[in-house]
Amino acid sequence: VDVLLTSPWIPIEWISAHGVTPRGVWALGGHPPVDSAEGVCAFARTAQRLRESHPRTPVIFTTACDQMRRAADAAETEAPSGDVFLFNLPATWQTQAARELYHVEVRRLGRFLRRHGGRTPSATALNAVMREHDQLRSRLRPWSEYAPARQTAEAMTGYFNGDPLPDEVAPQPHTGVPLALVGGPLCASQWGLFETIEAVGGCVVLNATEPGERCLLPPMPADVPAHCGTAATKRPGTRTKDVHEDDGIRCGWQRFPVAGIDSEVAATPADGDGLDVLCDHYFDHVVDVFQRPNSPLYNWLGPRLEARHVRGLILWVHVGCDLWRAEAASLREAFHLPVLVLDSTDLRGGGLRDLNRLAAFVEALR
Amino acid sequence: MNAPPRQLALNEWGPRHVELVRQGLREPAYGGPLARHVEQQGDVRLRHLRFDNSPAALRLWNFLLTENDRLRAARGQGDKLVGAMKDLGTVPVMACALPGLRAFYPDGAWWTPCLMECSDQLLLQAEALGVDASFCPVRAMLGAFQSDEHFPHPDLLVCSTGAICDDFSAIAQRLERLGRPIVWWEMPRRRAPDPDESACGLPGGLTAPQVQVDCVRQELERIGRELGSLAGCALDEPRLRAGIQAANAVRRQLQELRRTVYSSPAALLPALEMLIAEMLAIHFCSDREESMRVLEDLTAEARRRMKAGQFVIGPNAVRVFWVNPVADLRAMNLLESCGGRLCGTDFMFAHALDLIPEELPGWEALAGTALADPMVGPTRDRARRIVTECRAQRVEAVVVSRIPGASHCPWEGAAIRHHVAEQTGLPVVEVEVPPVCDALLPALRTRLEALMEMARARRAS
Repeated sequence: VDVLLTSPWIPIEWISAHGVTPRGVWALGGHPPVDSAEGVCAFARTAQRLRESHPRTPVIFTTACDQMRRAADAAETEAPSGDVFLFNLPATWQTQAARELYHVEVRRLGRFLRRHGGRTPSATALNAVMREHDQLRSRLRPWSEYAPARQTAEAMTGYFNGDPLPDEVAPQPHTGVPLALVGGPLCASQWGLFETIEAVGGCVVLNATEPGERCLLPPMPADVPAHCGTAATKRPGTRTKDVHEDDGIRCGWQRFPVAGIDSEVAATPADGDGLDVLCDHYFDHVVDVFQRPNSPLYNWLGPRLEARHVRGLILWVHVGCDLWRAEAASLREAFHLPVLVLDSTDLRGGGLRDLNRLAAFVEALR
Repeated sequence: MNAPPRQLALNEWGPRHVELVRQGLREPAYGGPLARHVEQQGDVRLRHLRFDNSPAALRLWNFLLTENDRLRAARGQGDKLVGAMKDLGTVPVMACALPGLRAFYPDGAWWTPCLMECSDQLLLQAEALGVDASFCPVRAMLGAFQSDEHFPHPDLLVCSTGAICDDFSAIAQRLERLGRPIVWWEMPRRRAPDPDESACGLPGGLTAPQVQVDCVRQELERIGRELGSLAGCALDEPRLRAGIQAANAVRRQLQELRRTVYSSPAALLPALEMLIAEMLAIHFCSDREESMRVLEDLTAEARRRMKAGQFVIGPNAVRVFWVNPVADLRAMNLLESCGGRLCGTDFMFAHALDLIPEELPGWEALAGTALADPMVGPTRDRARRIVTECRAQRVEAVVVSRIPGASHCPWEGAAIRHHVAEQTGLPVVEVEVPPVCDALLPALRTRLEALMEMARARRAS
């Protein structure tokens, strides 16, 4: 059984453990561009219409943005079938209430999966899937350091699509002006962007789009499930101590204030099942623009931009996506780097206009 | 003092005010001639509006247009100011339950470019701060915070987040990055309970899973502690319940006003004044007691006119339901000049028109009411309520007014239109109203007139 997934912040381990194959919508490279009403994000519109191309395949939306939650509404209203699941992703992350909401939604997703052919996973099975995915992510994680951006994007998208990972990727030195690609969903049909950037002398050394590097969770606690924090025991306002936050301090990069976080407090060891560990791990490591405040995104970006000597940001924004568009000025101010806003009007690759704009941007950075 | 009802231009209100004063009109401290708002505040849009000629309407307008002055005066007297953002009707209930706190909506700055016909430069300032015209006009709030020339800076900024529109979420986040700390609280997207979940009834005939109500309750309790800390006085259950009862008194008064005006055979008050009056339900214009008196006056005026058989718009006007607030107030005048009258509304805060259950524990009741917000649930819930009200008020046509740049409008406009047309067969039109709609007036007029034409044709058949 396949299930279409529209967000990297839903535990694919939980889906897989139900015997269901998650299919990340970013991989739908052959999907034709769709017409879009004024102000409607092309990604959300495509997600809404997935059931036309994938009838009877359940689709999991999230509330990460207004556009996607309304796309879910529209999909369900147009053809009520019970195949649409809208996962309530909390925007806040500082409170026990938000954490519990996330846990509740994961369990509710389990019931949805079982209604659609999934089976109840045993604790052992879930733990095995968690370890397997942890290993897959561990293999993927270093790729971004040395592999070509496009190959990494392909591998990341494959990971969220249930595809096997390539055995190995040959290291390739990054040449060209080092750039970070930051923003919303980047689909397979849009990967030509990497070649376009390289053609004009740039090189993506940090892919922070979706499902790029920022969607790759850090390693699970080493002793899962014996040591695990649970929803009931985790202190409100704490996030698991994150190596990236340490990086921010070590690099001398000025971290943004993270309201309500005590970065010295690690996950509290306690009794609990693997699902609680999984939920906490995801909840604690969301790095996205929709969070309020979205300081985790900036804290994640900061050390990486510095470590990879990034000289410019390309902000990848779907037309109609207010959340990413509004960050252009904040990103510029925060990192003192030039920002080029690249609009995505549909799910096709960039055209001549993008090429010209990118060429001018890279030329100015040389 | 009780002249036959009619709509006046601003320059006609001057002599009318003089006449009322001569006849013994007693005004509150914020009273006075309307034209002073043009001269002193630059609210030049007033010159292009038509106002109801009653003393009650005068009081309403003066109350609205003096909010910033009244907030400054309150601060001068030692009150603390709470900037409530986005929740539309929840945090002010809590803030007003505590002594020495006043809540207002910085979101309200979205009408400033309209009132000042963009001479305030707020939209340009927002653009300079990275929030351009692709965003909803509420971006004016960003300019207002930065310019420091409109509302006073709040002592505490609170913003609901989660199931809210992207525009507002993005603009508020930008505001925080510019150095305005915000206390965020989570508003889950309302959904129907699963069969195996404990369900909770909400105002407006809605339901939600108990876990969602619990989530919002916990969040509101947290905000309550912030407010209590600011006030130096805990927001305990008795205080909250008293606050809810007082808020319900305002809501009951507004319900009575709406029932009187919308169910009458012809319009007792104009659409523009009804829009402003309804807004009082969500923020009390930062003075709950005075907002009650303003609504009482309006209701009394409507009843007096009803008894006298006097109407501000003739009986043949088409009965219109209006969806979403307009960025340009002039659009409400336009409705009437095209042959319509307001008989029902959903200005995005239908939940604030419903009574907060008083039989429940306070936090639970407020959480349920907040979750009943039409903007946090499925569009079909909102559309169903619109249909119910259209039937109750014998509505003949529906206007779905889009807010330029708002993330929800492209999706829900079409959905509401489709549902209403399917369920009622009523003619529906979508219009988009920018902060100053003068350039679009011919197109707007054409669309509205066509709608009235359709409605009258249905009458004839």
